Amino acid sequence: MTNLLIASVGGQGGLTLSRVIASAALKEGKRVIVGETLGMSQRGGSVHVYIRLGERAYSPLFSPGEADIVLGLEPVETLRALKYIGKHTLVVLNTRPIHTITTLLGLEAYSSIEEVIGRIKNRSKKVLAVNSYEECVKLNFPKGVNMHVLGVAVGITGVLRPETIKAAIRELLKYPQKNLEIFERGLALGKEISRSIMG
Amino acid sequence: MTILGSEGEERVLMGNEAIARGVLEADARIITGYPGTPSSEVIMTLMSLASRLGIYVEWAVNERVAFEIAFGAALAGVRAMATMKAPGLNVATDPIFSSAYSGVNGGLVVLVADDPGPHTTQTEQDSRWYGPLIKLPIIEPSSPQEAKDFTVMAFELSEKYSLPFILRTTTRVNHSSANVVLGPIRKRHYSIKYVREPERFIRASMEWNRRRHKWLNEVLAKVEEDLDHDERLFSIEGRGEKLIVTAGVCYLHVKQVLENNFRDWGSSFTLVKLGLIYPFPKRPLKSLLSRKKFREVIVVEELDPYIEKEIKILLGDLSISLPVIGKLNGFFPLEGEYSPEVIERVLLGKGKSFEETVQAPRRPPPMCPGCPHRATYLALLQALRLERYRKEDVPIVGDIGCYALSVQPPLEAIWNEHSMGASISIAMGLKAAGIEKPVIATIGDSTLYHSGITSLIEAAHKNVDMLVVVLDNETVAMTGHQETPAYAMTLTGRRTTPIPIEGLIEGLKIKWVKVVDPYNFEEAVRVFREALKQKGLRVVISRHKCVILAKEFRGEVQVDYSLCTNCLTCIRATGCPAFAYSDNRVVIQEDLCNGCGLCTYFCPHKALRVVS
Repeated sequence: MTNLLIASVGGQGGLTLSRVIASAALKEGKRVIVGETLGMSQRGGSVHVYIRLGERAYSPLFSPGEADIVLGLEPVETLRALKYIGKHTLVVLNTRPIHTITTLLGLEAYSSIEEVIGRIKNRSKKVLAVNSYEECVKLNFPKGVNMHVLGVAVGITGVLRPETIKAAIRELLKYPQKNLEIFERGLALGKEISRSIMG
Repeated sequence: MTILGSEGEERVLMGNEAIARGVLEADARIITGYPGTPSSEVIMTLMSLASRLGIYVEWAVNERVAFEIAFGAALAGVRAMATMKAPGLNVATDPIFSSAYSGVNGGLVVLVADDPGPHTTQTEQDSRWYGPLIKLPIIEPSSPQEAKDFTVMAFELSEKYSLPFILRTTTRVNHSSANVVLGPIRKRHYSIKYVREPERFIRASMEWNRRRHKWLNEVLAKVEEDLDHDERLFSIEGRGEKLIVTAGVCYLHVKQVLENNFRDWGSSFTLVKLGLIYPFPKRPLKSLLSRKKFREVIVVEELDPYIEKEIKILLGDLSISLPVIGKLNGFFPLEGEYSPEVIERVLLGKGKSFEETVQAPRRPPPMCPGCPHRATYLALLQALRLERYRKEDVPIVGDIGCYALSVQPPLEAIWNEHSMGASISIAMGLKAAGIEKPVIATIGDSTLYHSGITSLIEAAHKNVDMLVVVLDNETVAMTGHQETPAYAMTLTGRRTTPIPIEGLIEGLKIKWVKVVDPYNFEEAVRVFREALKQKGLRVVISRHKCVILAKEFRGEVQVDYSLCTNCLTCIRATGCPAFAYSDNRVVIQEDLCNGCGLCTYFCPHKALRVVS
């Protein structure tokens, strides 16, 4: 069984990402169960999605420390998911912050990226901070962060087959070409990192 | 994901999509409801298929009306469903009570989605109590697969027993996705007719009512006798001496905890899952408890101790003395949503497994960049200031909808947000109590149609001295942009007669009614100032389409850094999430800014401007 957690802000495509993963898993004949935690708003609230893959998947929620892979689309949201990170958890983290209304108004401080990474590293050493947003902007598709982070995680872990994910992207997403391109970029980066660790 | 497909095909469906599939499999023809998270996706999923399949799928003006339409259809022999969130069931209960006495001809299913947590609801209402209160059967699925299967079953059972059935879900079932194997779509031959049977359908004779009450009690007894041991609604796993009784999504949490932590959990635990919530399946539980020696009973259920109390009654009847581990003795919490973590704490005796407190800044849901509600509240607050009222002297009563987000800083506008349509009458009460300063009710378009209109009739009739602001964004925004009665066409493509708010209130003879566009900001402030000077009932309709539906703003807002002093007034005044800090200066995030230009009214240095 593999547990994935998506930590994101509404509007970043966290739910779409979970649909792509679920659809790819179904294509591979895997049992999948997805639970989502949404705030009240259409845009801009915390969106956390829990995905379990495998035969012994029942509950749509995890226990602390149980996530195998965290797809962190936003730093502070990844920090919010801290309790699900265990020693073995791989965390892929997009480093571009999205302020909350309280940090914008100066009522609270936005945690620095160093602090976020430090707090996560106290729980798992397998943290990979990637500037996915920058990568996506380079390809003129800033909305592609979700697929980039997924690509990196899949490149490192092989949790799902790239072919099934690409098929799911083609079926489900509005701009399949751009999303495929970005997913491939992430995938290549993930494989490279994986090789450099192994080598 | 599409819910069309043949028997045996497998899909990953969200619980609500699975219920929609169940509606198709049961060949129900009339599906109506009022939007409410987490129930809305059932109708939203079916709407895209309605015209192709020739079924009636439409939002109704409120839950009560929705139920009555579905009830009427079921009287004519057609299978029908009404969907709503928990507070919506409260709105609909008056006719639902009476429907238990008359019963139905076609299958009638009421979907009610409770919200432990709560995630998006004003209370953590446990609608299971409505079973014994209304006297209608309730069944509860635990997974998307069961959500589909139980929907089909509910239609069949409703027809078999001529009683409406309630399908009760919780957020975690409505909004979870999982593998679902599709069943057959059984097309039905409908002969549509409604026969006059006064004793069944008229509640004006007390003698008839008494007889129908007896009939209802007899049918419920029959439902219990037939269904209490139905294996789809009552399952037993394991053989251990600790008995766990659970239902709904808690079953999945328990199963996960047992599977993860025990090699052979069946030797220590006996796990019973209930699908029939009311009538309560007393007989098979009694039989289990008297047949086998258990060491303890653990009841795992969210919200109220509904099952736990029933179990205690059973143990009393059987004169069995067993510890019951539940909520009444403090083992499980009475509030909040359950998770495997909550259950592990009790089942495994784990202490608090996560001591570290996460200090992440809060992310309260903001109004979107370009949200017209922000403009309306800012204009209103500006008018109060210019008319020399102190903010803390003038109550602004809110209502249910996106505009309730005005409670957050920096606006901190509304004082009260209670239940659908309550704003106008609560404001009336404040005025009647003797508040001398102005009292303002703010209500959205859909909420006004839903139930606020009856309060407005009352306020107009009594000519209450207050200001009512209708925030008309021409949609039901918060639940995912459903249509309102102002639309000329519904989302299924049905042509309708639009009923604009002005027309609706024309008959109320309110003397002072103005319509403004809040993005004509200075004009909006002027109108609100004028409204504050008047006496009697005043209505301002503040109309601008929801920014998510209509991105009609031209251009984008830019910062002239030669003028900007970094005073941050723009952010402090509007709280617009399109602003950010970068390199210690204010920046506007192009991908978020909608170019509404509201912030330009607040910059004291004229450093913000809209460029096309």
